[in-house]
Amino acid sequence: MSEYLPIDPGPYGADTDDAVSALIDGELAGFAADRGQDVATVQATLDAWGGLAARRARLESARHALRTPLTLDDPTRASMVAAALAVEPDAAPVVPITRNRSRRTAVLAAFGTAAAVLLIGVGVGTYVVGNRSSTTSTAERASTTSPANGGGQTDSGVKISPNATGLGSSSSDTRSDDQSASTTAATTGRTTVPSDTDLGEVSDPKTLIAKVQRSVPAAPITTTPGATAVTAAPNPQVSCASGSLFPAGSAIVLETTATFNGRTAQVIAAQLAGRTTVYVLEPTGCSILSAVAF
Amino acid sequence: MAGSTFEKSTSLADNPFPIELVNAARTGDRDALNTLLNAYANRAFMICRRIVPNDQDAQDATQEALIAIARSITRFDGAAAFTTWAYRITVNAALDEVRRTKRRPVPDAELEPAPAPDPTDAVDARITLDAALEQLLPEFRAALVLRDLGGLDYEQIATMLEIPPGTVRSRIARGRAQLAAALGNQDHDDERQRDTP
Repeated sequence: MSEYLPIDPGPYGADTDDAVSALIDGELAGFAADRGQDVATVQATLDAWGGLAARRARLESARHALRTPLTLDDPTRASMVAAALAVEPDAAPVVPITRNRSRRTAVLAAFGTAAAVLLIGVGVGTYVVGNRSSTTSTAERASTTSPANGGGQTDSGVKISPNATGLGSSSSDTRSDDQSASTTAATTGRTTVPSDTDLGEVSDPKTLIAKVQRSVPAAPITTTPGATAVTAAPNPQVSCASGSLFPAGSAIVLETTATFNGRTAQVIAAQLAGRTTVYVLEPTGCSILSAVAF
Repeated sequence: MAGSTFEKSTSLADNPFPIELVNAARTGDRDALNTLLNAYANRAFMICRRIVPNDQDAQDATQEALIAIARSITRFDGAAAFTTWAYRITVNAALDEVRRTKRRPVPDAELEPAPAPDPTDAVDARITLDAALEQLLPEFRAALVLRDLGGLDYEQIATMLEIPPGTVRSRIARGRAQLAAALGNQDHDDERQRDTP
């Protein structure tokens, strides 16, 4: 058993740690000035104190502990940088990125947004909506649906379908059960969000997140290597270009309209490495009204 | 997820960013900004992780810091070093995160108190760095981080945190002392401790 004895207060009493810490940092001048002394006097006083070495070692031990390196893993760092690059310099004030309790897990679990394709590809039901033409690749013909509702419709009423081409291209109403093709897809599959699904008022970030989550398929993410992103069909009501908002490799998962503080707005969401970033944009100038990530 | 590598101690001030890279990013070169952010991300995380008590919240703070840097890089005037400017943004993001975390409801499971260290046993009293840091006020952690990780002097820290230099000195000294004590570094305590039957 041990007991604590009174600590040696040192030459400056309760301020001795201040003096020793300042000595460590080469900042003794400020301490001396505050006491109306010169540095040499303070230094001599400390040097004459028998407890200096031990006190200094103790404070330096904390310093060394604090400096123990920590690093982000590469996927997490890449995801963070991508999200940061999605913000235009000097853009309008952006609502702070919302807390995401599962981001770390999501980032680790997802092998990039490519992960979305396989599961969507092997979905049971197939609905294709929209009025754009489909084209030739297997992925483009892949069936997509949300397992949660089995019919390609999310709980917010959003139908999900593959889309033939990249953002801004067209597709047509079609139905496909070519599931084998979808599992080997190596090109872009798409998730269509209908243009008439206005999100309503989204000025509250939590509401915005909730509505986007309901509108974007919540299917577990898995895929084959090489598969690429699930992408929302272009929405003719959304005039703002999404290309400059998100980094390369992002998958646009939602384009729709909403109301922000009573004003008509456009909402574009994209996913990258398991993280969804959402922008609320002013329709005419396309300036950013709000943004969240989760 | 963050992986900690317990290598040799290091200061984040050891490797300044090339001015050419910073200037390119300032003038709208997105590739340069990409490189800059990738190079800075670990520093940002390390700063945030020492101020914010857990990995997840520290990552959120890091993300916000990187976004803030990306958004305002064109307004960086070069009056200070890029790192000094970036540290200010990063520390503010971390302190904001701490404030938000305090407002967030805590699940019951997280409310269970950690076992208190036994003051009669120096070995048992040795706790992790994270737990030790949690015992410090966030403002103390910020001052410590800016000094010991950022390599800023007291005057710079005072300006950044908008407090007098004497307060910076005091926070750093008290922070180090508390941290050393919480970590169970008994170099000093041994002087005032003796075994008794």
